[in-house]
Amino acid sequence: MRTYYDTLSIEENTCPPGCKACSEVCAVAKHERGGDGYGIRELHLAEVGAHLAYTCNQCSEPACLDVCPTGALAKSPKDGVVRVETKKCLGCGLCHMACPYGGIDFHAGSKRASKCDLCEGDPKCVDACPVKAIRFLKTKSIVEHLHKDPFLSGSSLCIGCPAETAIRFVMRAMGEDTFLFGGPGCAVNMFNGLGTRAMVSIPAHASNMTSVPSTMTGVKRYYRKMGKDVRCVAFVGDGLASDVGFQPLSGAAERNENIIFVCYDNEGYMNTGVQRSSTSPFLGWTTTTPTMGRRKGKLMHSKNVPLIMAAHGIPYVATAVVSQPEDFLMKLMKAKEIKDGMSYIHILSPCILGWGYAIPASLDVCRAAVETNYFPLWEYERGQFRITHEVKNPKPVADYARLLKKFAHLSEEDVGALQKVVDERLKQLKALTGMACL
Amino acid sequence: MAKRKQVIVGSGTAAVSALRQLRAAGCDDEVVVLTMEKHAPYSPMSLPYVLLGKVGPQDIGMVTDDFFDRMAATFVRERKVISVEPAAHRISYGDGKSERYDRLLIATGSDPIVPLKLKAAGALGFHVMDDCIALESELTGTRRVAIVGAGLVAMELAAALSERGHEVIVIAPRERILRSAFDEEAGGRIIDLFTASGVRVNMKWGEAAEAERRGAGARVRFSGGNEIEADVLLACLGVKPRTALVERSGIEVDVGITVDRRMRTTVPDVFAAGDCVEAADFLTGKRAVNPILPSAADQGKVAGANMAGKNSAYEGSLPMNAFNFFDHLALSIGKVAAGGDEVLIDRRNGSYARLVFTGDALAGASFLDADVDAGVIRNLIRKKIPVGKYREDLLRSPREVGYWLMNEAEKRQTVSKEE
Repeated sequence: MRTYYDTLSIEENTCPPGCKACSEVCAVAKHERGGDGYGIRELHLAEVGAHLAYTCNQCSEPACLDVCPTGALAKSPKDGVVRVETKKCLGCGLCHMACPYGGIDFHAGSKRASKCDLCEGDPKCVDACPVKAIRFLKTKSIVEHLHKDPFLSGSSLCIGCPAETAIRFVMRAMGEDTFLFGGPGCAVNMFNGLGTRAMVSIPAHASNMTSVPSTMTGVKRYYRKMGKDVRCVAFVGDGLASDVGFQPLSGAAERNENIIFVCYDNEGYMNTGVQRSSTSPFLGWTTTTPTMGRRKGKLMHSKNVPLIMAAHGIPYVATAVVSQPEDFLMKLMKAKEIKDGMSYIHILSPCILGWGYAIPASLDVCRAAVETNYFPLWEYERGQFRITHEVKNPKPVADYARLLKKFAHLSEEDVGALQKVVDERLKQLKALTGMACL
Repeated sequence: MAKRKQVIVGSGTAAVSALRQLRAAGCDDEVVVLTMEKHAPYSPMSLPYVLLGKVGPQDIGMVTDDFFDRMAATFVRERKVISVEPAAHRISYGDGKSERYDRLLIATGSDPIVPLKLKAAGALGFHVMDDCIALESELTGTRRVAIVGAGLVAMELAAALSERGHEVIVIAPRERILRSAFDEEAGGRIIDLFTASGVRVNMKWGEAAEAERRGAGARVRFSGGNEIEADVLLACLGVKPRTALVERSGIEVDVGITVDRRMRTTVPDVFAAGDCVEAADFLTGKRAVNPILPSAADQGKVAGANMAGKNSAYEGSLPMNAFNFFDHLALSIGKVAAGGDEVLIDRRNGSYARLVFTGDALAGASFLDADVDAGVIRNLIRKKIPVGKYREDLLRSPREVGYWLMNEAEKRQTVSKEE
């Protein structure tokens, strides 16, 4: 397996014009530790709109190492940092000439090569940046987890189904010492495989629809009693979470069990023939809310399950989509760290069969749902609502509805009605984000 | 499959780099590394800095003490290879013994050029550790050092010795200094900076016509009619590939050992890399000797990969030099001579920048005391990144515009890869 290291991540073209905060604080930090020069430089080219900072990439195969005549440069296997051993550095400048990324500072008067050493684990530029364009990603542990997929390759889910992507993503992020729970639904295929072999290499239990939260409660409490910290994670559909298994879910939330409940919402009973569920959308087609004649699909609004879960006052609730993996991962990592109560994550999971769109379009549908505010990305953390992905120029919901056959019957007027629902929900959410607590 | 025996002659940059690459490529053959010196691997590049006292001789080791153990290679010192017999796959040593190889890498480096007349008058060359030790002992108690030559080594030594407090006189045979790396104007500016720091640089003195020992020192008369007397006389007139061992072996030698893009010589199973070879030049595609460390490192890598049975090709030598003297920094990459190309020069704020364009891409650049990331500029040349309408901008703000161009090009490349 490859090794991964914590790293600096710099967002491009967000620097305020003329800002030198990062390089100035870097020079001071270097000076304080007996060095000189810079470990990060900024550049401002107003004519082409380029305002960015750059630093050493701490490459996996650093070109600077190859040309150092004295072996003064070395990449630490521990933290991945490429360091200059001052005693051995000639100050010849070859490393500076070999680095294609401007990662080594060397200028007139330099006595030695100077470069970023991540301030030995506490990069000073991160806090100095006024627009938070520089982040120190402690990704080592996360990325390592991401390479431990507990599922076998292949599954009996429909080709292109984003629920498979989501469950693999969730379980990789959760890492070791995790128990997986589920119930009847599409994703249970990820537990049982094709009947003759197990699909999953961690303890996984599929119970019936009404007993998932209670089963998780029991397992979690047992291990707590045994003095072992394990994570109990459910991955269930909307039929289970919002309809059939809602009472035990609400009960577990009310008891504030320390479990992580992930619902992949495909807005219906897609596994049994595309019947409506309580999260099926307003005016959407299902086999039980048909669109024949004057019928216009489902006439009731969908149940806003994540908001209801937040109303329980549990520590963490969030919405997520697989098309925004960074946002999704951030939320999973937050849920993973919570030791004093329940977390609930609600994923919009488009269904190729039940919603009617072409196989490769799952991620496009997810993105459109976010960009039209049909499915806003938000979180509720210990009393505080926050929109995690603010859509700057939201598109009309028509752009989302157009992608899906389940909305093909909508007239212009109907789309307007759907837009109204979307607008009201967003307004409601924004009002909540402005409140200190619920 | 039985393990092969890979023999590497030399222990400089190319040799070490080849050994690393052999192992990185997964080759588990037996490897023997031979050097004629008694020292562990070091780069001759370090020696002027040792003389200056910036680093100790114990700190310039190119690799750690356990390197050869980690690489599972046998390192043999003071073993000089005098001939190669490709048909028998054998090499012979000075002591009459010989050894078989399955694959051979010649990485013998170069010899300094010291004219016989100067040698007879006691002139020292400066190329290997022993030269450095010899010079160090000569310097004790002496004042005046004359350096014949005006290349990079000559100028580096001049700066180092001047900083050590010696009176230094540089004698340039021709009308320019550092001619392989800098144009006339940059050279002139560098001479001015040396003069300002108390180093006398004499131009166009020609070759040494007469030379004799004079007490502990020497006296030399040059073809231009000038004479010099000095306590220590140094000859730094460049280097020539060290190819004596392949004479009469059938391995083709022009100026250096000729190699193809895979670092193969003209006979099977014999590879060569580093200062001793004549390999493809990046800009012209023709073979040329380019005795600089980065080329040796790249060539060693390519040779090592191919010796391990992989297929690796050398992109060609791109000349590059960083010259750090007193408090100044001169950088040069790629093409210097203008020959029909567009040349832009900037002389603001006491710095000097010169860009040479071939078509829409940069082919050469040199800087004196400019704010620039030389590696980024080198990357623009290597990747032939089109500069387009940003030439003047690149000249004025080489660091910023250079980085931006490189960054945009990398982004485009990533996008096209994804597509």
